[in-house]
Amino acid sequence: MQNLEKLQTYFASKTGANTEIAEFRQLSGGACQDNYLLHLKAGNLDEKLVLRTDKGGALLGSLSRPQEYQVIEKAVAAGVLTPPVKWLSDDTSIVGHPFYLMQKIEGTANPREILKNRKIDFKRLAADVATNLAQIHSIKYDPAILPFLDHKIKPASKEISLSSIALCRKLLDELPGGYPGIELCLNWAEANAPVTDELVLCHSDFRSGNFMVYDGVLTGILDWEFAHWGDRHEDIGYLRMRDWRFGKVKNEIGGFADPDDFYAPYEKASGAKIDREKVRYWEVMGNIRWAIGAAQQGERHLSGKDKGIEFASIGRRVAEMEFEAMRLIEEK
Amino acid sequence: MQYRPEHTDLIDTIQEFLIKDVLPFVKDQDMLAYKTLVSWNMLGVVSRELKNGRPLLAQDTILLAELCGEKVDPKLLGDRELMHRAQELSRAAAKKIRAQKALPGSKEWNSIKQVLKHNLQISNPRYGVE
Repeated sequence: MQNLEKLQTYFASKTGANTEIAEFRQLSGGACQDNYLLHLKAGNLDEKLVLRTDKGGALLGSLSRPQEYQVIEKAVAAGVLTPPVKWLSDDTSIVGHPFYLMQKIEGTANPREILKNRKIDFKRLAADVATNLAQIHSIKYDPAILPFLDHKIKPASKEISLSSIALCRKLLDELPGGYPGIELCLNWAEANAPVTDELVLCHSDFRSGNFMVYDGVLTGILDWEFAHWGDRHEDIGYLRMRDWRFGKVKNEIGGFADPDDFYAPYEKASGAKIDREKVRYWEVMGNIRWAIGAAQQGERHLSGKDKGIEFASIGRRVAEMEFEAMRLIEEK
Repeated sequence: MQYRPEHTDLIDTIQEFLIKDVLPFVKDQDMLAYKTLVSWNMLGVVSRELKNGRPLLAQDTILLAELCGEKVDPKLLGDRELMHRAQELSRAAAKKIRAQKALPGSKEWNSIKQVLKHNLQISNPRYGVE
């Protein structure tokens, strides 16, 4: 991002005062987004904010920034711990893409740093994460809210799982390589597609790496770009995925907790009973989804669109998720 | 012919340089430290592929060809040709598996698991032993 002057003008229009951008630096971002820390001074306002904008690519149907902004508004209103959003702009002349500003919250989301911190009470963290997921899932499907998420899915049907399989196959067809392991898992997923009892808002990237922790306490859930109406077990299965345990594979919940430390507080807060078989199904699907995402990132590197060490190396990691999905299927 | 040290020796040396000389300097800069470790890891992948890639790829090509009802003799193919043939067969196997709806326990399942095990021996030999 080059043009801070335009950004300064934008802030002046928002605050009605002369503004100074006292600090501006890039933060680690997602695959499709750039995040910048920004220290804004304007009149009486002296605030640290995070500016989030597109990097120029999209993975697995990620939301636009204006859509993500609205999802976060709903999540905050439902009591989810997440940085509240402040301003949204779809003017692409300011930073090159639509962007929004949100509150800067304290802490780190670096999973390796969190998992090795012996001062953290991980049972408490698991309970906080579970309670927040229950809050997210308290947002029930309603075509009138977040209408851009509405794909006219029939409740109490297999449509959620079957449409996820169809999306995976479509994305596979767009890739130049062949992934026979993923295809086998998708065949299994199709033959074993569960019924979704209730459509709820799913975060869909709910995992270590997107949990901000400060002083041992959860301070926020990050990265809403994949949110959609879905099955609550999708988020729980995703959180369990081996890759999101960051080497602490025995701690099945995010590398930091046992399932019981998570399931009990989730069930208490949500009033919903977790179906372990559905969790396993969605853990398989999470691995498939991430395997395809990894292959896409490798291709982004090869296309020259987003060249870099991380993208190149992730392309070589597809087999881990493919193999894990097959292992989970065989586990029964 | 190239003189010694061989390519894998050169890679090992670069890996050592990254870990011993570069990482201590960048360890407080999250992104740089992370990229240094990823680079070290990728060099390990390349080194293992140079050492053991060809025989594993030959086995995979035969397994994939069998699934597609084809025959292939890896000995007749150069390294690049073998890689391209394997990629071609992987695409064909993926198509066939989708069309025939092959499931766990099938011949396809067992063969592809073997191919993936070979992949992990190169890309992440620590997988499953943590």
